[in-house]
Amino acid sequence: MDEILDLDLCAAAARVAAGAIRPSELTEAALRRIEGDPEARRCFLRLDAVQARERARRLDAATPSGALHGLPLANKDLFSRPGVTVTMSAHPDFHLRGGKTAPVLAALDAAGGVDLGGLHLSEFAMGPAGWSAQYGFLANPRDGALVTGGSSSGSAAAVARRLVFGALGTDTGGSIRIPAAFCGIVGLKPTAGLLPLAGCFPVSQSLDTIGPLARTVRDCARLFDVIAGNGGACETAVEQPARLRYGILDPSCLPMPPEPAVAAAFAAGVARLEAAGLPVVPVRIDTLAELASLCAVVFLTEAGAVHAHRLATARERIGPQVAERLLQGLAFPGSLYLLAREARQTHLARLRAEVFDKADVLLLPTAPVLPPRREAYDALPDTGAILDFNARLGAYTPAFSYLGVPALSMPFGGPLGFGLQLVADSGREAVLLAAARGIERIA
Amino acid sequence: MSETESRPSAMLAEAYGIRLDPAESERLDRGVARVLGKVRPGLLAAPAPPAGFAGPAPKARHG
Repeated sequence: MDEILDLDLCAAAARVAAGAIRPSELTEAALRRIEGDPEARRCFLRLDAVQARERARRLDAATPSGALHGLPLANKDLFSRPGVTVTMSAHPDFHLRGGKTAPVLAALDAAGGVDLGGLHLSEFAMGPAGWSAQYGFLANPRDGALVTGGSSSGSAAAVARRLVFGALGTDTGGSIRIPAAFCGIVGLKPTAGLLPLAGCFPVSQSLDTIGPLARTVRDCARLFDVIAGNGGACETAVEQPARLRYGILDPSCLPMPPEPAVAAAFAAGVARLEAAGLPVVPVRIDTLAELASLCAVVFLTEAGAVHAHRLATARERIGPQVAERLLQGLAFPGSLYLLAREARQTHLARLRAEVFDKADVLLLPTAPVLPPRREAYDALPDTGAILDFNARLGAYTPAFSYLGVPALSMPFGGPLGFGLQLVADSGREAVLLAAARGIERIA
Repeated sequence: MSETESRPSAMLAEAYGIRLDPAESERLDRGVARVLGKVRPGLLAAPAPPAGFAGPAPKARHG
């Protein structure tokens, strides 16, 4: 019975719509799987079993109409719902009580989703490894000795463990794409500013994005269509064959050299695209390292401001890795922040000229490394060493966060934890997803 | 202002009352300096003109 959870989101939705399975049966199957395995249970910082059962029973009695009718979902524990305690994976003194339902959750509700609760994340959604001073690491579903990546660690792990059909995460510098890569699923970071951020605990107001993680490109497209309210446009796009140009980033442009296994997986992936006859064009952009540093200035300055009061009054209750980065942000000069924000349009114009005039999407690895072992962190001597180690995990994603463009990570062969990153121009999520679907068809 | 007082860690103490121990201060000062060093070329890329302007004016011709 619980094998129904092994279907992808769109297939499960079709079964519910056809009356082959009821929402409450799906919800019970998900809850059994979650409660039957301690590592699965750890994905949830808050499991709302009672509310989920009530909701599923109500949906049993309704005619399926929404795109997610009766499907168990869950979300990074950053989103507001009335009366719910939201942890942000932080010290209990910082937990918040939800007020209004976040618009993105309201959209999932309206489409018939069944929200099972709040998922694990890096403390305050900061950190590419998926670690929280309060809740530690989650085990990577593919290999429990490895980290999941973060900061949307629980969203990626819950989807990869097939506890839910999809989950929302947030991405400010790579927080959807990195865990999606490390856990072997698909994660979409939409264009900055496209979706309402109300009811989502902030990291960086100008860089924060909310996006879906799911097992397939089409599942991601459906979830994105729902939260963006665009009437199924992306799902339609991924189902139609499109002749798109794939821009392959010259590996010499990467901000730091990839591990040999990542370099080999990327090269093999490009060869598969060529062998399949997809239009592939070489592209260069030589400023990715600078763009990542500009991202750090904007990200950390805005995050430092969000947390200034906590830093000044209760710094000892913030994990040292997070506190150190927040302090940096608080210490950057204001002029630096303003110049970094102003330079964005110039760099975006350069990206368009160098990449998107020649190709519809840019391809590069999601991370220069494969998921590290959890025990590797125990051997690091201090916070500075951990931050240096983490900087490698997040080396290939922040440039595109800074530019605000949509990006996606998907599995494409190679060793466990290898992710292929696709990037498109602002507002071109349909193209990005269609290009990803073109690659998925080969895989 | 002395060199010590212009350090980011000293600014945090002055502006926010956040006092770090010497090791933390040194790490913070180093971390901020490292980002500043990396970011310079990107910041000084020719900026877009302010909103509503097309770009630099042509050079005036004299005589």
